[in-house]
Amino acid sequence: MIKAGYTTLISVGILAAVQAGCHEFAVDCREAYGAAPVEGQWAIVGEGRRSNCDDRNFNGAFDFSTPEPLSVDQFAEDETGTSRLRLGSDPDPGIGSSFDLDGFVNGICVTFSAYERSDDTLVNNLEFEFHGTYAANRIDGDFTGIGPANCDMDGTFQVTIF
Amino acid sequence: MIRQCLDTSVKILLLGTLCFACMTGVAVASPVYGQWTLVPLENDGLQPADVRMFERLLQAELATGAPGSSFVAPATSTACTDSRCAAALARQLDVDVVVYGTIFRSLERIYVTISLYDAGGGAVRAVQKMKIESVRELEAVANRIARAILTETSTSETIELGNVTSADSEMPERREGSPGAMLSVGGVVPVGDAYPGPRGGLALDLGYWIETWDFAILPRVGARWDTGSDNNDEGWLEIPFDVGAFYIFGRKDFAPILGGGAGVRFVRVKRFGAAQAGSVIQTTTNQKALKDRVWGPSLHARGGFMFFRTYRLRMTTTLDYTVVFAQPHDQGPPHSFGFSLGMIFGNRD
Repeated sequence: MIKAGYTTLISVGILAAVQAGCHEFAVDCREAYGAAPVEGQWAIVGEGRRSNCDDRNFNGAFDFSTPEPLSVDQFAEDETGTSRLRLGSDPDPGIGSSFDLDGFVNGICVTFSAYERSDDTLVNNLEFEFHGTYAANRIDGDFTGIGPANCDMDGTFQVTIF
Repeated sequence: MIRQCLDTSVKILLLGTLCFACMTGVAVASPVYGQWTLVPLENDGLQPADVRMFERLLQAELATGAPGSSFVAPATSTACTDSRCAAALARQLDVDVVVYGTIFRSLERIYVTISLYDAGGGAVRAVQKMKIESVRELEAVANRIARAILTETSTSETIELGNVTSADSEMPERREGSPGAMLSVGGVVPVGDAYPGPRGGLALDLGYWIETWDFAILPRVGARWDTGSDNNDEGWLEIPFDVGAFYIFGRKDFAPILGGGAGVRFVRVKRFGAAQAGSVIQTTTNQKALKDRVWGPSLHARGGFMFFRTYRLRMTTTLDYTVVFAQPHDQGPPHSFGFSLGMIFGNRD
């Protein structure tokens, strides 16, 4: 009887530890808010690594930023509690290039994609997938992506909203 | 009456002059007919076979030019070098004409002297001399000496046929050059910013020099590279594949050359910097060595001097200017000055 009690206690302990460990990495997007208020001017910065580039000059560590803040609009939540994000005004990527950003907010979790494409060369084709959490006018998180020159890239980012 | 006498006198004078000229001309240009013999030439420095060939050619030319004559074998292998020997041989063989002479090589030249002894007159009637540079010219020498002998009658009118090389330099055979492999080494001084890193480089070329009378053509392949620096993150390499054409101002041992050419070049540059991409979201790599490789058409102008043109081993020293129509790292076009010292390994015979 005592032995069975120890066994149960240890099992519960292990489960609790696993649960606690998982809880470190899993974000409860709905823990405190509805959709976090992220509308505004976004200044994005980040750093990461690129690999497998067609042009090897792009391989290795890199950083990125938005020279001009991006205007991002946030729409009302739908029935699932998710609100969508769109560019408020189109930035100027230069002649022959295009840029777009869209995403959604679910509680404090913010997921958005950014695409920059150029008609001239593959070098300037960039695709980012950002996954972050909102706190105090900032979004911090990780990103993955492709480009330029078909590079695989990943790293961390931070959005400052003002 | 007086006028008629004057006219008659003038006519007689003109007729007399004409007849005298005709008689003189016949006497001067008339070949010697009868029995001839060609004594083996005194040879110093030439292959016996070449000398025998020359003797046969000379005899054939003489026989052709004096159809009434016939040749008698000299019955001796000893050469004659003076008129006394020729006179003795004429008496011995009972011939009218003895042809004798010498042929010898001195340094780079071959000297030919042919004399014609007239046994009837008891005197040497012609002495012809020529100097040449190659045994290939012996055929031309035989022809010219035979013609000279058959059209001249007196040693006082002996002509100096001279140096074939200089006198006959207009002959295509003499102006023809020879091809040969060419190796050149030199330096390169880049101009502008297309070549990163060190401002100087080395050049090594291998080509094939095809030399015509006044022109030369040079297809070549080579390499140019930077001389190195403390910063290994910057440098350049260039591989040319081109063809040049040059005008050679002279056919002697010192000749200026001027020309140009075209081709394609491979250019590889290594530049320390950061690779950037994106506009709205700008990405920048850390500072590192960035490499770029491009191919492009190229043009070059080249001038200099050629030395020892008449020798097997020839040399050149040249300056050139080259432009490559390419944009490594979006900078360019690469252009540069160069200098080189070349050696041409050719066979002139």
